[in-house]
Amino acid sequence: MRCFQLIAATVIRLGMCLVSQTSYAANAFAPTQGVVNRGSAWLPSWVSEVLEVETAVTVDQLSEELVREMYLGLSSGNSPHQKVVDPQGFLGKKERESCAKTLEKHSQESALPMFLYLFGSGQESLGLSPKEVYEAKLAPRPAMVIFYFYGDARSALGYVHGGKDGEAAPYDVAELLRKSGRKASGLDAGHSVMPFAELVVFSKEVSQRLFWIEHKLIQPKIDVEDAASTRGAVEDMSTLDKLGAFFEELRSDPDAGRVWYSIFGIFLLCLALIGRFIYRRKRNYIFPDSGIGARLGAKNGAEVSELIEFVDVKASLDDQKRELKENDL
Amino acid sequence: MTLATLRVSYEGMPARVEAGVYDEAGVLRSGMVKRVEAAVKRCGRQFENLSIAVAYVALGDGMTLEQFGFWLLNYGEFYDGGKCQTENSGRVLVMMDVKGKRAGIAYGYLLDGFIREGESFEVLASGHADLLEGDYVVGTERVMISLRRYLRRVYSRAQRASKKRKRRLT
Repeated sequence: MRCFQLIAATVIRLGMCLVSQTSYAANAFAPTQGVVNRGSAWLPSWVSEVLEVETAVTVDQLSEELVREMYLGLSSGNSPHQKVVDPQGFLGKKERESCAKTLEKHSQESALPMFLYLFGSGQESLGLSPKEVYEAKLAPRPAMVIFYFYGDARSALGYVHGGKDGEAAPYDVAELLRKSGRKASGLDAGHSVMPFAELVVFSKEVSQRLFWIEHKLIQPKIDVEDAASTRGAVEDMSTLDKLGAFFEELRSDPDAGRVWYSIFGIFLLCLALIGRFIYRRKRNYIFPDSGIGARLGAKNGAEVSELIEFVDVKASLDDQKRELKENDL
Repeated sequence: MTLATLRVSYEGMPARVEAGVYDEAGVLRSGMVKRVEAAVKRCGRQFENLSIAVAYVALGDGMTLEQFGFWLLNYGEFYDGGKCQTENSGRVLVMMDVKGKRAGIAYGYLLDGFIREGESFEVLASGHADLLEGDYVVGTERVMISLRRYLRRVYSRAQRASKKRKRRLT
């Protein structure tokens, strides 16, 4: 059966080459009736799987209803959870999986998952906007919808909605896509890149840059409110309350033993110093009997210290001291 | 010069020391006397068996501050609140010669063995600047503060020596 399928696919591929020399475009078989699936509306799914046909439908052949059916219709296999929506089949199976993997990884780390809708280059005016897609398929979850025009990263369109936090500023999103597109297109580096490589770089760039929008949209609000309430509370507190809060915090901390011991130690030290100071101020000093007998016939004492002179301002005390020592010697 | 000859030499001088202040030179006015008295009292408050005094004298020729200190320490009559203290070997006399511009300290027997060289000089040096300017009150106050601190040190030295002696005796 598998052999049969391969043979049939090869025959069809040859036929297509005969029909159109320029591309695999299915322009002769405009998808007006069949089921739009996996990028090739007129081929059975198993054929396109085998062939991984790169089909590019020009704008002229796509009516607005068809576009809506392709990108919004659930019947075409686009579930709201699908990260890469590529009804026109620009990506091969492996490419699509790799791309979906990148986006899946992003959604695990970010509160704003990315949904990539692939269009052909030059399909900007199809009557569908990212916002419309978000409202139709993804609301009210926080999400980012990107319309990526395959092969032209710089003209990507996007819409970011933070769920409860409202939508992101359009200029922020446009800036993000412009910078990512520029980086992906390799213009800065001065060389052209393959369309898929461009898409990969683009999705990674967007994933990185989306952090700031996410931060601005979701995180800061919580932080600002928290900070405001905390600051307000701290300002309202008196010094005593602050001290109380500090000790309360310390009490609730299981590893605060050392701090407690330190505080207790310092307190004891201060207490001891104050006690010593008071004791020294208040205590009585009673000199013990020296056991020295009277000399020179004096009853009370015969010791006279060295003298100090205060005659001359210029005569320093050090000189006097030196003189005293010399005299002693 | 023996103490007996000194007694003859200083016969004309008053020997009464009132509330720790002896102002024979007459450098203190009434307000100043109170300040000096207070300083002396503050200094001696904690030392129960010491009597501290300050003496201001203007010594004539042939008289030295050492001699004067020796004489007053032994023949001085120390009055405190109108009550005369009998001979006390715990006397500490800070003396200042306002004429010869010199100052010194005389110690009784109680402190005799514990005074070391140069220490009294440091005590007196604390009031040197004020004494140079002729401000005897402030100079005395500073000396008194310094003396109190020094006497505490001397006390601990005396205590140690006393314990050592007791141990030796037992």
